[in-house]
Amino acid sequence: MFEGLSPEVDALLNAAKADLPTAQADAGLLEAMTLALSVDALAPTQTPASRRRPMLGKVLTAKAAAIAGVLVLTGGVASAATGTLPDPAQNAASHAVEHVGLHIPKSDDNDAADTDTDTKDANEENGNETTTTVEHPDNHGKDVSTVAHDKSTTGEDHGTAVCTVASEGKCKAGADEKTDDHSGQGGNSADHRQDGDHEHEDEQTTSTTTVTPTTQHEDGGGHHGGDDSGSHSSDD
Amino acid sequence: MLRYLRGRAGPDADDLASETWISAAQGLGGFLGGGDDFRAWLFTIARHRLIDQRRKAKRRPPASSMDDATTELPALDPSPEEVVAAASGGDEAARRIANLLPADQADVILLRVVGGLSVDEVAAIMGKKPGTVRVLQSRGLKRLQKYL
Repeated sequence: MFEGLSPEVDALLNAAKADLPTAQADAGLLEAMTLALSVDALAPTQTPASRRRPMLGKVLTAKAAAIAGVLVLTGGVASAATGTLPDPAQNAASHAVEHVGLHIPKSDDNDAADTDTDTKDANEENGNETTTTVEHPDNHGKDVSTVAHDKSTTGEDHGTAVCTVASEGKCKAGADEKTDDHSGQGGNSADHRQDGDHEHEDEQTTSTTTVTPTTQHEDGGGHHGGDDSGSHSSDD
Repeated sequence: MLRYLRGRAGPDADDLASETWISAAQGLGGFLGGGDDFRAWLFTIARHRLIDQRRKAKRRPPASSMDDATTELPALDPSPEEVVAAASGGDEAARRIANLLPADQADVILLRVVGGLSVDEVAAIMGKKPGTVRVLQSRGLKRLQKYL
């Protein structure tokens, strides 16, 4: 193996590799050992691999399940919100989301809503107050619009009705003109009425609009006039 | 492999050999190759276990001065006859080579002689280039001729 060595070094190297087992140089025996060990060690060596693959499978399964769950929940909530789920599922979804402060109509809400609308129309035709329909927050805009487009009332009554529905009964439009304290609200209610009646109420709208600034002017003029007069008088 | 470890690790060789075989059995599923490859692979594992054992030994607290005085005696240069006589046993010869040479040179000589590995195989085991292994081998042999 090595050339040009001294006898001492050669003897030492020969001694180092002496008495080695003959199997060490036997490639066939080593191959047999390799095969035997591979068979014996098959089970323990497969353990890490078998533990990695299920781990990867678990992660992928968890991700897939999460994505599927999000899709199902999103689609289910959307369907529930639009009321397109079957009746038992719609009721269950409505009951479930009530705990988190959301409102999803129940299966019989659509019918009930239709019934409410019919009842409301009947009441409006009879001239009754429509404040009871304001209790449904989701239909508030629709109620206001319905009252605003109602042609059964005209003039101040119509504005008062619209204002009452819009403000959920807090409107004092009827008392505005008498007290002149809140002329702006009276004008606003008239504006509501104006939005509701585009063709038939022009004269009244004009008169109301004319009266309202006059009232404001009178109020403001009175105050300002008093102040001015006082200041002038003091200056004089 | 056991002789290589006895030359390099001394009394810890048997434990290192056990750990080497355990590691080989655990990693045998990923082994590909024949008998020569298996031998080189086995010596690679043995050398890694040896390096780990050296690192652990460095982290151990140092022994007391009395232990050092009793265990480390000044070595006298033996005569060639004493060397050959002392190295009559294979393990003793390997240990003598490891004691006379630096670690890298001892690894190269023992892997080449005891392991019967080629320069390329030793280079692969040690993570060095074949030229570097040849240089280490040449320097190791010269060093042995110098001391023997």
